[in-house]
Amino acid sequence: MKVLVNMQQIEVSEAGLLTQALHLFGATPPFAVMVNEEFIPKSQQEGFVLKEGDKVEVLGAIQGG
Amino acid sequence: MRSKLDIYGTKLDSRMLIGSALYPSPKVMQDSIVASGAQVVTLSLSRQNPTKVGGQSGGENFWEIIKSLGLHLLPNTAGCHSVKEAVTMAKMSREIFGTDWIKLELVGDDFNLQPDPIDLVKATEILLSDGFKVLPYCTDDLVIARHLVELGCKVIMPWGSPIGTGKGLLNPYALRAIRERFPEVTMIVDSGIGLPSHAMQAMEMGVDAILLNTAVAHAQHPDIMAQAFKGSIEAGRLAYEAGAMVERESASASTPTLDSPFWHQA
Repeated sequence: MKVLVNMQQIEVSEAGLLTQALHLFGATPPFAVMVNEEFIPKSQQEGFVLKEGDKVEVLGAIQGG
Repeated sequence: MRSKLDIYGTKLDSRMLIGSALYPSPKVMQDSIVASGAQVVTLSLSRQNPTKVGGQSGGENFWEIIKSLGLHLLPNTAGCHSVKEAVTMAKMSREIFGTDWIKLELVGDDFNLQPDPIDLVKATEILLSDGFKVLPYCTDDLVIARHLVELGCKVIMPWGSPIGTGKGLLNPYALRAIRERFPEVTMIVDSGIGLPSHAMQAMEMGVDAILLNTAVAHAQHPDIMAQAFKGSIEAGRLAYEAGAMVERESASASTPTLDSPFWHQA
């Protein structure tokens, strides 16, 4: 099953677990996650199931003014 | 004893808040932040790129450097154009950085990055009710400031001039009005500061603190400019607390003229 993670196409198993997608992408703590522009808190990420074509955003710290 | 800056109950000695963006290198950023004496640093969120060093969005171990400084973190919602975007970004920031503080930026127009006043108020209400300590970046509009204060903001951050312009205080009258109208609120002038004299001007009128980034990061010698701002902000605050003389229209001799060599009684 294909999903987008930070605009990169990632192939995940049919189980479609978010945590698998994050691992395959190489998400580095600390990070926050959105799926289809909805914030998924850490407490809800385990067991969260993705669908074909879902857009995952993995965000981390960056410089800011 | 010198008064301290109060941000939602956190008392700080430094009245300078500094940004972490636009520096020529991570080392210059680190040196400049240290030179500024700031106790609060702003930062933001962006997509991670696992190919970058440390895997973080900021690259070159930005996060490691920021953590090592041990300062209070003030995440911003830069780049957000809607209430939903800003609220979502605030929630993600809270989870990553472990702070309820949020510099709420809600862009109304990309030309001058002016905050959208209406959506800013809406987003502030949502975030305050969710337990955030909101530091709203707003214009110098007195009525918008009043709405933010009435919602429960203990801090307001009106602009001096648009972000990154270095134009200083475009409307000192408006800033002075906000200061006088809301004496109990912590007022931080944020954006548009270019010179230490701009910062000092704001502090002399009773503004509580200055938040700046570009003025330091884009200086030819950022760490030295950071020191200059540190001095000017401290001097401006001292001047405010000292109570400046009253400006006069006519001259008043400072040297006594009575019995001076060529003085004649009229």
